[in-house]
Amino acid sequence: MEGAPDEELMLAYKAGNAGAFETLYTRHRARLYRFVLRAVKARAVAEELFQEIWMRVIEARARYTAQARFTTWLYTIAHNHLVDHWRKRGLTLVALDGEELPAAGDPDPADQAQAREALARFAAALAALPALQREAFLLHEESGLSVAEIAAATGSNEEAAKSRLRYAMAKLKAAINDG
Amino acid sequence: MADERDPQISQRYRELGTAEPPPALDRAILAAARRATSRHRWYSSLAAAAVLIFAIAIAVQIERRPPEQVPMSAPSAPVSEQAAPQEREAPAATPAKPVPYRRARPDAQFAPEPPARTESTPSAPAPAPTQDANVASPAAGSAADAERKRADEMRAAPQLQSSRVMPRSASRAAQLAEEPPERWLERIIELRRAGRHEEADKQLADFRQHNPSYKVPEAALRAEK
Repeated sequence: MEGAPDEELMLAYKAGNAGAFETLYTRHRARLYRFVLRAVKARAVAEELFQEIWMRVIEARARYTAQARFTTWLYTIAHNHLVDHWRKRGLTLVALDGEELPAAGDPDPADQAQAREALARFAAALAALPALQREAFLLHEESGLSVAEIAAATGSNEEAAKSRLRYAMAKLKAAINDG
Repeated sequence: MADERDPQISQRYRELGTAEPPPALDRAILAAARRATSRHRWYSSLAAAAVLIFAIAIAVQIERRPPEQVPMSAPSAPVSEQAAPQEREAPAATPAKPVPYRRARPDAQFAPEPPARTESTPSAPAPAPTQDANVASPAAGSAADAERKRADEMRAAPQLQSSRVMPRSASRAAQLAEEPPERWLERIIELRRAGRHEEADKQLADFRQHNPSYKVPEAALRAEK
């Protein structure tokens, strides 16, 4: 089943094939992990959320239908988990706009080479993005979702998803060009 | 347009690194996935076994059910009254029964239901092949012919006649004979109270045949006087 599409693997897992889940997990683990890590910006929290997302996938297998791409379904679960996480912390998606930058985004220009400075600026720009714009960018860049799929996964419309993605790209491009 | 990637942004994003979940986390998630499917298999097997056992139990119950159970459910009512509701529920099936019944009578030893029950079916389009119906039926020939045929068959196969062709009232009398005499007499008294003396007389005659030394109470004898 190595080359089987995600949807087929998930249906096989639903039918009781644990090996199908292993293939599916191997295929998506790294990208989903990075998506969560860069969304919450803390490794311990990211690991906890990452595990919870996969547990939700396991629990929800009986209700899975191959109507949409598995990736969209997976990142919808991930998005919902992130929203819950932010709500638990008393944060809203809008309030995240001014969150602190990650450690990786605090470069000391005096000690870094030019390339590293550029990368740090990029990381800082990514971390400084409003949460919804960052999520849209990560879903697009890391997970390979189209605008329509981003809209479906985040429960918004295509225009909003396209707008968030466009703003995110513009800010990141500006961070690159600053150097 | 927004679906298109900017190669510069993509390149820079890749340079951020390829962080991955720790192996311990991978193992924990995969183990949970395996546990979930093994539980699924266990429940499925249990459910399948339960359904199989249930089906076998029902089949055994149906196999063991005595064929005369239905008529005995309302013994105080006349036979014709008992049979009618059942046959109204399946009117299409009743007219078809008499034909094979008549042809198979000499050797049909395994038929579970005596087709004589169709005799009182109100909606039956064809006359039923019972003793009474055969006598009155123009399709069955003259009454004398029917009687002669029946007498021949009775002589040829007396055992079969008693078990297979026996009219409903006779078979019911045989069933009543297995009851305690007191209960049988109670039924006869009930028939008298209902004004059904002819039926009560028949029952009483049967009763006396089976219990010749039993003292019959007055209430059961009233019409004879």
